[in-house]
Amino acid sequence: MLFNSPEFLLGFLPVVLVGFFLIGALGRPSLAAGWLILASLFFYGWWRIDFMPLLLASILFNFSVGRTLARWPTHWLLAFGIAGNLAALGWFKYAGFLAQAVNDLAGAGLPVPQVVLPLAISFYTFQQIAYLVDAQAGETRETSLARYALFVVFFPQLIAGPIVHHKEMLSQFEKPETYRPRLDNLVLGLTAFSIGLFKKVFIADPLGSQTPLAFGPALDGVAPGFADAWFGSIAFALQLYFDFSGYSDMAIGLGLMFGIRLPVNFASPYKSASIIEFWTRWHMTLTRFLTAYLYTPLVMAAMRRRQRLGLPMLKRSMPAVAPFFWLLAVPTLITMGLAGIWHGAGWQFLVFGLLHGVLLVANHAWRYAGRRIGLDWDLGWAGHAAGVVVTFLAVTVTFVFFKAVSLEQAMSVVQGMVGLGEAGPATPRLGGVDPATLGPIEQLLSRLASLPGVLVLTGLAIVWLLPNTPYYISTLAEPVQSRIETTATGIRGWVTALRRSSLLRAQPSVLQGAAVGILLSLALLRALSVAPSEFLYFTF
Amino acid sequence: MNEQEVYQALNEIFREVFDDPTMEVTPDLSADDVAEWDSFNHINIIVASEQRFGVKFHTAEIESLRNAGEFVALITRKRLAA
Repeated sequence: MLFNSPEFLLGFLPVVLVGFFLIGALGRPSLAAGWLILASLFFYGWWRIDFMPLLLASILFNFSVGRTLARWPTHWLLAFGIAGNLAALGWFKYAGFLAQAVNDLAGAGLPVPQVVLPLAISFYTFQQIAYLVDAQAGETRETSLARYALFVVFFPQLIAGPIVHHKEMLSQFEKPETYRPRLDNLVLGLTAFSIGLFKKVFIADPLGSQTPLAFGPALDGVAPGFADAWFGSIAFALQLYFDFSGYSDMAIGLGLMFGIRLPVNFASPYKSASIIEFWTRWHMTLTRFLTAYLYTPLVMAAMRRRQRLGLPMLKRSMPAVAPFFWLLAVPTLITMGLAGIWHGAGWQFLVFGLLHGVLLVANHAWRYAGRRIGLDWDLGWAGHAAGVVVTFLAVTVTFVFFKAVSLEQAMSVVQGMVGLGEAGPATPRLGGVDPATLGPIEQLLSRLASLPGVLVLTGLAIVWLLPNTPYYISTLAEPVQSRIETTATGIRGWVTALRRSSLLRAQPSVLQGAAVGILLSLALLRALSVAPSEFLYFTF
Repeated sequence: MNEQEVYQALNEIFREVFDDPTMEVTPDLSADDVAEWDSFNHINIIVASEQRFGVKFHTAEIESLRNAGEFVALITRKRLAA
């Protein structure tokens, strides 16, 4: 069931929510949890009932391994548990791709298995691997199969995250207060959900219809013109953000309605002034996972090894190439390459990840070397703004690989971006002018002046100037995480006064209530009048 | 080694890692306060501290640290246990 479908909005959600609180109000937390598990399984089975056995088997397998690890925390049992998860993921997600790759590269005649990717497998596999690692380290402990099942299948985050730690969910599921209705949670949850639904149906989906400008001709190997390549690619970068952050807002909002705080997944990523900063704000729960379970162990092992051998470490006062390469570049490239492949089985995803790895390494090298060679000018707000724009454009180029169905398609779009396009302008006339008579920059400007162009510019204004949803809904509940707050106002220093006046934060006032009500009504009307489109991350 | 000496030793490590000779480690100092405190420098601090204090940290312990005060508490606990 999609969050933006009528059956979810008008049927599933109200019934599950009312049932949850009725049972909770009777003082039966375990029954309420059971209700949530059943509802979540129904939610999952609505798509394809035949994916259900794998999900249930995965839960049982990991719960058993986790329980054994609690009593017997050996490394080989942990390795067995992780291998089991990776084997399932490998078969369902990568077997076809690997067989094809071996056939292409080595000319072997392996049969290519046609396996359908089970919904959510990448997400629930990662979440449970993290659980096993934490169980082995004694960081978390689970004794109840029902509670463990709820940790995996809790429907707001089952399909596409946020990827949660067992520890942070357990502490909430254990509390009886979670199962009692709270008005502030319901209000804030509905607010986040409304914003997310609005982002999805009014911004992400319409932007999606602009991406064929760049990706359409490229599908047949024809490079689009400069203006079309950039316009379509920027539209996609914005679509992906509004789609996935919209989904995350909805997930976090739904979680709150059920009294559960899910971790923040997006904190205004396009306000980042560097690629290092970007990854602290984009798909934050994936970054957290990769940092904790892949990057940190890799870097620590490399550092300890160099320490043991008495080799030089990476020093800011005296950076050297060898430690930079082994301690920073290699672990970063491995982590980001695997992050790319996690998204999908295809060369274009590997290139997507490696491009980000290269950008991160370059960013670090700049930090180390810039100061040595006197390149660390402080240009104030202008430098910051330039950093934001350059970061956004670099990310836009990498997302071409993310969107493309093949490496060839991505390369055709990139070819168009560097001005080597072969296709003529996609629209014969723009605002009464024949675009073929215009230069590439003029073409891009006239595209931006068209109606879809206004949508793109509005999207850019939102991501650069407005606070993010986690910031907006954070007032009533808890002190704000400083990372969310510091860039919430956008380009540094933007109307700090306005922010202080708390106009831009959720308040239990008539005005704000009405505003959110209008947002939700519009989003609902739209969601119910068009066929619901899938979220982009549901294919991972 | 008392708590003050742990902070003294951390000052040296932080000054080296961030190449900032004036840096002072306080209990509530966190990654949000230092622009270049990214995940790499975080591990840099941890591994330098392992050598300096003769202890070892698990990945999960490193991840859950929220500020320098918690790190000092962890170091003190580990040194007592050792």
